[in-house]
Amino acid sequence: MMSGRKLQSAALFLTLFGAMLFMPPLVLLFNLRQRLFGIPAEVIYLFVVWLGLVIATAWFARRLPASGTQSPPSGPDN
Amino acid sequence: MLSADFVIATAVGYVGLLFLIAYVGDRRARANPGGLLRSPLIYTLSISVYCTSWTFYGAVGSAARNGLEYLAIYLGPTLVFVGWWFVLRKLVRIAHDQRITSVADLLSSRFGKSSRLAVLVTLIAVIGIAPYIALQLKAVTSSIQAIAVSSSAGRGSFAGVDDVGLALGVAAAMALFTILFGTRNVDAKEQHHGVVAAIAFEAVVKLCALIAIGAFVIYAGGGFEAIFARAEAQNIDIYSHEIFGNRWIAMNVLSVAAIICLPRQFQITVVENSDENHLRTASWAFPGYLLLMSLFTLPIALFGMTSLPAGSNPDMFVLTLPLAAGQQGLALLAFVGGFSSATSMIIVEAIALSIMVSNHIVMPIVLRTTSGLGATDGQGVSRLLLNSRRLSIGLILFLGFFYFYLTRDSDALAPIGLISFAGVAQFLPAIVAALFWREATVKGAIWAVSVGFVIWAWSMFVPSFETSSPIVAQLMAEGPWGIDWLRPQALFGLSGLDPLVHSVFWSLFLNTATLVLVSLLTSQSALERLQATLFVDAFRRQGRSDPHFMRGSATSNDLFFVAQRVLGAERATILFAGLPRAGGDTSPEFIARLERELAGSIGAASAHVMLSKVVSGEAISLEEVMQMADETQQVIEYSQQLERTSAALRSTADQLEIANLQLREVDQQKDDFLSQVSHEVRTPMTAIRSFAEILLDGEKLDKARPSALRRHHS
Repeated sequence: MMSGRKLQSAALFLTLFGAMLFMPPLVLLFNLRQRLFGIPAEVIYLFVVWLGLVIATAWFARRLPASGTQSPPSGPDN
Repeated sequence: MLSADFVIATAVGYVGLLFLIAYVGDRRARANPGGLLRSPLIYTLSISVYCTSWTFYGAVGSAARNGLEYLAIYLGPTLVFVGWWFVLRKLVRIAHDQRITSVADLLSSRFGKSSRLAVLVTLIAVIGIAPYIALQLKAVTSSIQAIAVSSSAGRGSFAGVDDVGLALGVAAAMALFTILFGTRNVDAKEQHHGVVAAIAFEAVVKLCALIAIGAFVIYAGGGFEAIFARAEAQNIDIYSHEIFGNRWIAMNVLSVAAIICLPRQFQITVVENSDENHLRTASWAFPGYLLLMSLFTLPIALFGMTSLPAGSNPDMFVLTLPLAAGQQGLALLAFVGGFSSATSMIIVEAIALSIMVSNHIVMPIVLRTTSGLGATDGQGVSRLLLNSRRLSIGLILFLGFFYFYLTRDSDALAPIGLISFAGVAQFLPAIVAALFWREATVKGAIWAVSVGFVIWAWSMFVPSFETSSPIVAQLMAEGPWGIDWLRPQALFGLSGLDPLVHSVFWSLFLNTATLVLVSLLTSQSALERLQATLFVDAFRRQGRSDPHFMRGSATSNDLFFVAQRVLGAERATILFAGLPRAGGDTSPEFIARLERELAGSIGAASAHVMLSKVVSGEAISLEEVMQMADETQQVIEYSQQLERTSAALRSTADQLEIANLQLREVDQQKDDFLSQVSHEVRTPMTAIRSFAEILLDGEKLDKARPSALRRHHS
């Protein structure tokens, strides 16, 4: 199991590598003029990466440390 | 049979429903602060105000023209939310701590509560958003037109009204609606729970509508595979050939900027956030929502291109496909979905912008001209704020309409939206610097935003009038006064790029470069340094000792007078409950707290100006600020000291070891020496003993020898 600090770096790298996966040249690897299950490969690729990011972010959201001071709904004065 | 009259009546009824939801939502949120209305679910749904009629209608048009390019608008926000821990969380934390009310307030507050920066950001936002509002008006107008064209009843009672008249009507109705909705009272933290509830409801409506249309298209087209196969057979490029180039990257950058900088996104994501942990859910749920919204876009576009007659407007496929198939109910749902995405955008954007205008432009002017607070009576400031907000909502919608009027000949929706995205993206470098770069100065921020704005206006905003103005067309062909390198779409001789990429590159590049250079060349004022520390180290301040912006004193009567005018009598009384009323002096801590409360209503810069008029004594003690700004510096220094000490210890230990080694060597030498010495000593000792023994046995020796022996001993 990863510690809090490592989880935070992992979340950062997820964001950075996620961005790279959406950008050329990586995305060009799937720009093949071919169809998978009748759908162009790059469409499948982008949506699969997207879904993967959603799932990974949900995983991280449950595990990242609770963020310090929770701000109460109406400020400290009420 | 659907007619224009009928859909307009539906729209009015729908708005009535929204109003009811907002009203009930407001009351329930007040009665039950921890309830459903402040749940992560509602928060996530309200963030999807990002999906406007650009998403609902325009994305299909964009997909029909440029294939997968439409996705870039949703991938950028996805990435920002995937990385929520690093940027959004910090923004939300700072906004809570500092009572931030808008993007302009955030930047002004970070850069030493500068009113000039706030005014600049507000003006740019108002101008930059005008095309975006025009886009919504255009979408609603075209959708009513599309229904009118298909209907046998024709335009019904709107027979004599053209597009422009219809758009003006829509704009006026929206202005009225937003005013009724968003400016009923001045909230302490600019939170509008009722509006948020209505927006969340709209998010569900537009998602359901779009998915229903998508399911219908998949069903009518015989599945994904058949739709793509038919499109390919008709020579439509389904493989998004050459999409993933410069333009793809530029659009991703723009959408990253937009989800942070758009006034309405900032309002919903940051200002309306009531609990930092809601962001945790939104971090994956919002990208998921975007994914669902764009799942069917490409099939709808391809099906529309293959099944509708050539020349149909692809921006209206979502509506015209069910109409062409005779699905009246579905078409009505599509209209309501599109209308709902337009209204939610206009409402939130107009509210967010009107807060900026009233807090950063109207308030400072009033504060300056009335030279004090006595000029207005009764609930003065509060009423003034509301009225200025109502006026600015009208102004903002009128600007949107005006832009629509000037560019009514342009056909596609998406390019209009991109103009606004690029406009507000000019705040991004300053915002990033505000959060992460301690040394950024107010002069750097002001210059950077101005330079970015000028380049954007010249290379993107002005060219959008090309079709309607011959002057602009000539300007673009030849440059101003024939200066070739100033042509809007080939600045400094950089030609051959896509106009969007060209504008985004120059504006953001020069913007960031100016920010860095000017910040390095100028220095910060005391207040700036203090604010910079509060922002950059937002997570490090665990003790939460409130810094005192004001030293010196004011009587609680004076302060109460101010608070009452801005916050209203009821809240002021609560705030002053623990204080002696009879004219006693107040502590700096209390003044600081009051300033934050006021900032929540009228913005940091105005609150600061207002209080400095009442509080006597020096506004801020320089040493105090330096001390606080150096708080972190001290921590760093301390840890460096520790490091140095431990290094010293380590070298001492090393020296000790060497010394120990030397000692052991010396010890060895001593041992050797002793053994040698003892050997050397033992030899003569043995000799002496032997002689002594010989002497003791002397009787046996002959008498001649002793004399010789005695001689030897003497």
